[in-house]
Amino acid sequence: MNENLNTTSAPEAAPRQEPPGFWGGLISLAVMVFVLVIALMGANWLPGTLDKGLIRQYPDLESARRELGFKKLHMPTYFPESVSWPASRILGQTTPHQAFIAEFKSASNGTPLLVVSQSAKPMPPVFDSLRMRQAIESSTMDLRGRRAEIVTGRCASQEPCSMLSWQEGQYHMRLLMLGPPFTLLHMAESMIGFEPPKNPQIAPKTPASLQPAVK
Amino acid sequence: MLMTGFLDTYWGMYLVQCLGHSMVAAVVADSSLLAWRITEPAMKQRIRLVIIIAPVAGFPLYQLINSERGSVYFRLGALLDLKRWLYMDVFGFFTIWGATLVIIGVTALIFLIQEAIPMIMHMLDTFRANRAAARNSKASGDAPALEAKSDPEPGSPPAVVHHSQLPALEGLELEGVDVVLVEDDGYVLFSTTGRSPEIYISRGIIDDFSGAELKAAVAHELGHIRRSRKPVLTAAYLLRVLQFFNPITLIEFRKVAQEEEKICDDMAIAMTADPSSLASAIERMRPDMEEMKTEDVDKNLMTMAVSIEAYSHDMLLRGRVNRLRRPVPDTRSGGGWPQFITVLAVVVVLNYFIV
Repeated sequence: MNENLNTTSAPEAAPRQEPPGFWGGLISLAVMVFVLVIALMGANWLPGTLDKGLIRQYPDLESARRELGFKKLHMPTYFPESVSWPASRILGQTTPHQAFIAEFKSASNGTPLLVVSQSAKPMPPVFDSLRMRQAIESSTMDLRGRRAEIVTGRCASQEPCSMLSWQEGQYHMRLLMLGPPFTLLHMAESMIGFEPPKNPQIAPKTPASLQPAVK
Repeated sequence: MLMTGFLDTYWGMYLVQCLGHSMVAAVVADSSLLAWRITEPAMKQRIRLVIIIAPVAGFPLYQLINSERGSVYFRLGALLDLKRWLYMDVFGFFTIWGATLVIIGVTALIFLIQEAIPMIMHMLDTFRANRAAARNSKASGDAPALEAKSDPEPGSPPAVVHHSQLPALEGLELEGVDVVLVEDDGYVLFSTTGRSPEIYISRGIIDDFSGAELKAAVAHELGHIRRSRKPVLTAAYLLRVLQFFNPITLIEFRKVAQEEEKICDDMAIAMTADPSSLASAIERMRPDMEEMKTEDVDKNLMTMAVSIEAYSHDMLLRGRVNRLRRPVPDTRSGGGWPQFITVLAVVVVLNYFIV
């Protein structure tokens, strides 16, 4: 079939190189992996410099409010004594949508106690430390003309915790705190005015993938 | 933004991390082959399999270890948060996520056209042929032919020959393997595996190849049959099918398959102790690229794709021939299980921090 055999001439003998031993090769690999790690870190840093709207940490509320461009950043004016001020961690983003999250620690033992979030869309859990893992009871209530959802359940280490969420204008508001829901209600009321909203909006249903498991 | 909500779901994270983890695994694997100067095909194949296994097994394993890996705060501390790239806008025209979806779509289409559809067609053809053969033998009551016909007609159905009728194959352990003669003047040589393995050889090969070349070529096929008893490649292919959208797995699996050919070449050399005959047998099997270039065919996408495939196949065959013709066959390992475990450990640890 192949009349004109495209013969391949034998390659010239390459100088023999003994392969390195395990440890010698491991050092070379370690150097290459180090370079890879640096490259990955650089690749992680680059989007943040090109797009300032990606989620990042802010030093305080004022810088977050200024840089995120929120029309209004709702924060409680009532804090129980158990909550330490200022916020221990503040995160914010404008890409892919506006969001602001603040974590507050316990004044007594410094463990995470309260998370306040405000976002254009419901968000997945932010902090590993304070997250409702199991919802026990869920109900809706009126929060000064707004339809709010209140969920009681358990967070990490089976501690009881409560979550209150509602729609405030274009933003989805959420408060999550260790303990019973009564303090949350006072804090939520301090975040909103006494007047009911002119155009009350029903909070969008939180997608199933973002909801804690219901017992 | 196109389906960015999907990226927050488990399936979205799994898909994205599949791509990212395979990229990192590929870099680590290639680095290790360089670092230890690993040339033995079996060892190279073993390390490349990490690239195919890691993306599939990684995400579920990591979620078991830490279900909060998807949380925003974990991502802030990760080595690489892939979502940060996917959300990026390119001059306001499209997002990286949109471009990624296009790449995924093209890869899936390639898989469908090059692998899935031919595989399904082949299975259907085999099923139909077996049914027809069963019907014919039932109708005629004849026993299947055991000897090649003395004056067979071209295009007549293949017939099983006993390997003793091919003296060139003396010395090869062909018990339990049927050698099937295909009445074709061209070069046809392939094997089927399973409970009744067969090696199909065409009349053209038997007439044109020297005895040593024929023996080496059959020994190579025998290598495939023996390797199929530990179906590592089959398992790897199933994992590759699960990642039909992943272009890196597509490329790496082809490299794994290329190493499989070299492993069978080495097995053939072990059986025949004659690398030069195997090299010249492979040389004969190479397509005539000059003939393909000058053929007066309509240049369309399909023929161009066929040409590219043929050229790529020819390059592979040339690579195998060059390897066999090296003055000292390079079968030194440069690696073993410690190297493999090191590569696996590095990939597992690094990928945990890539979300």
